[in-house]
Amino acid sequence: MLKRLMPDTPIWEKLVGIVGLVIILLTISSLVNSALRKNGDSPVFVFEVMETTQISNGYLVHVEVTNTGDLTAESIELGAHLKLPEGEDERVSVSVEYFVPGVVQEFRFYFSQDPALGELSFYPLSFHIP
Amino acid sequence: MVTMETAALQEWRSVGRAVGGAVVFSLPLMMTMEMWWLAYYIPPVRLLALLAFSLPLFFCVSRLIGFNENSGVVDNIIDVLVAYAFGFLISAGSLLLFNTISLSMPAQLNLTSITLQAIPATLGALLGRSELGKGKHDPKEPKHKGDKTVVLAVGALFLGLNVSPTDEIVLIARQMSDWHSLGLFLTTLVVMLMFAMGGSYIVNARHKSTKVLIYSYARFCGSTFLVSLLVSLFLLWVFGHLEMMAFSDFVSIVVVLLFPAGIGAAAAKIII
Repeated sequence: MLKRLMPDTPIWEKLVGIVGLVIILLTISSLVNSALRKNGDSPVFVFEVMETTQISNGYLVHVEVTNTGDLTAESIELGAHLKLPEGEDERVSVSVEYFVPGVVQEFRFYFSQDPALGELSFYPLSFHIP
Repeated sequence: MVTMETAALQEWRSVGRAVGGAVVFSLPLMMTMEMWWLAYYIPPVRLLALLAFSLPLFFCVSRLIGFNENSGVVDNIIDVLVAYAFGFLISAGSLLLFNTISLSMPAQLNLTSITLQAIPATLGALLGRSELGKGKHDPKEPKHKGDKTVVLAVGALFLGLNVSPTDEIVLIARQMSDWHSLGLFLTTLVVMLMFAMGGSYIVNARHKSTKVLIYSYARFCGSTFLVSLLVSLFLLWVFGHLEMMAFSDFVSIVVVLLFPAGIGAAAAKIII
């Protein structure tokens, strides 16, 4: 049928044209699916401590964070709190420009005292929806 | 044998021109971080709207300046599909090299990033294949009434697309006073007028009366202005620059984008 419609069009052009059509159809179906699926749930941050390493003057806690919500967060500030049974608590934070749903990002929180001695918690401090 | 070699060479030249055009037209946007970030949050409906606006426009461009001598509907559709395939693959390859997209990222995010870049790249591939407007179509062929509008819209879309996703558009609008906005608006009109006077659009100016000339210039500037304004408003909506904005800020940002969009439209009318 293609040969009848375009007798002068080279075969490679027809094949690349089909590739282009497939890409467009996939893009449209993916975007329509995404538009219908999104129910606008706020970003939700899930923290997972991967490891703690001792460095010369403190400890680095390696954390993987996932946004399990439906929306992207912008200008995010994530906090960590080390509650110690003795001495002063430590609070640290990191910031990141964007956090996309489904993406895992790695952060390293620095503490001067050993986190194993106390209770460590993580939480989002602030963000906004772009 | 020689004919076959020449035909093969011509095919490869066509591919080379498509790749070159796609790279030249999309590279500034591929290296703009706002375009990467845009993929993180652009509503799917707006990206669909950009595709729905661009693809028919590219079809009209192909009809006007397409690569093939055949100007049938199917040929032009194939031209656009081929250009889109090249634009998409080159965008995907470049973004992979820049590590802007990767296999570890969600597929939807990668697809959005590539689609955003593929639109200017497709226009580049389309124009590249036709040697920047010198395709095999007969330029003396009678044009449809809407063809001039299509050319204006393509020019406005191309230059507008290059700047509208950036934060600088908002920043420039914020730092301008009302007088600056008025000055920029008048400058845009003057530049459009200069393009009208400098281009071949208004032919045989010497032989026309002043009244006819003024009418021709006004018509050129008026149509260019209107199309640029509509394209600017559309792009500002797609890229989310029109949300929660006071009226004075809205006017400023439209005036700022109208400057490149208007120049793009006026220039396209002369180039294409």
